[in-house]
Amino acid sequence: MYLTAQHVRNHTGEEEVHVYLHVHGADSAALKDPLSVPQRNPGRLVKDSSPRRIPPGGNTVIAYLDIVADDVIGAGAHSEASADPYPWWQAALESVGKTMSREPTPWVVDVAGVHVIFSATPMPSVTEEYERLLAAAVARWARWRKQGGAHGS
Amino acid sequence: MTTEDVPAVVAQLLWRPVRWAPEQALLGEFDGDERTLQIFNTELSDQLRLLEQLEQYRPWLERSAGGPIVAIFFSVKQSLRHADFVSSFSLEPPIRRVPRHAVPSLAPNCLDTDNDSGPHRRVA
Repeated sequence: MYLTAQHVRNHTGEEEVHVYLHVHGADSAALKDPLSVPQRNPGRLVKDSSPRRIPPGGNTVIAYLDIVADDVIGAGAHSEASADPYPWWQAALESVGKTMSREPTPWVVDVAGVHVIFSATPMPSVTEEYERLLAAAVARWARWRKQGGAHGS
Repeated sequence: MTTEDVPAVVAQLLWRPVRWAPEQALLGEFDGDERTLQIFNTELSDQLRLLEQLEQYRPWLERSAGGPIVAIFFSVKQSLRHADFVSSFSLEPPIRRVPRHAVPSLAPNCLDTDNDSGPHRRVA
């Protein structure tokens, strides 16, 4: 699973966070080098019908958060029976923001097999930016789960 | 993910304190008993649900652990005997830093792409 949220700014100064979710299915070899996944092996895009104000393409990326994990474990929820499952890694990744807040970006960490890369251009609060992107990524994950996506689907 | 990470992941999935059984708790009765997970604070009425949840991830967890996993559930009362571990357990898995130079800094001229298949960023 490759889940990325990126904060973009278009030429008129409008900003938006775009989120993409990819799965790797049986291609487990893709995760042998997780840091290369975003550029070299993102996997199959899971379509998302959420509307966007700013069309992708040619916008400046001012921050991004990449989350890379095995499909099965990336889809893992705290409570599978819940109508509103949330990813088991959410709390852990929230703590990444607090732990790394005083360090320069990019932040590159591994949390029990979930690889996190966060980078941002200079801005007043990178921690708030990280939290904003994480929230957007989790919301995309939740839509995916509600639509029945999980366990390699 | 490493073998050491497995308890942390299961703890997050089940929201319970989890550890590999300490060596002194193992009887050496079967090959691979070192891959015995102790799962605490699980009431009997909840254990089937937790086990079913665990089963969904078993293949992946066993791949990470290097072989079959045995799960032992402890009720809240039984867990009291392991209070030292249970009371000090942190549900948050450890954060391992990867050297920053493994990933380039975000370039000021980094642009998004309109390629749905990715990559979603490129340097202009």
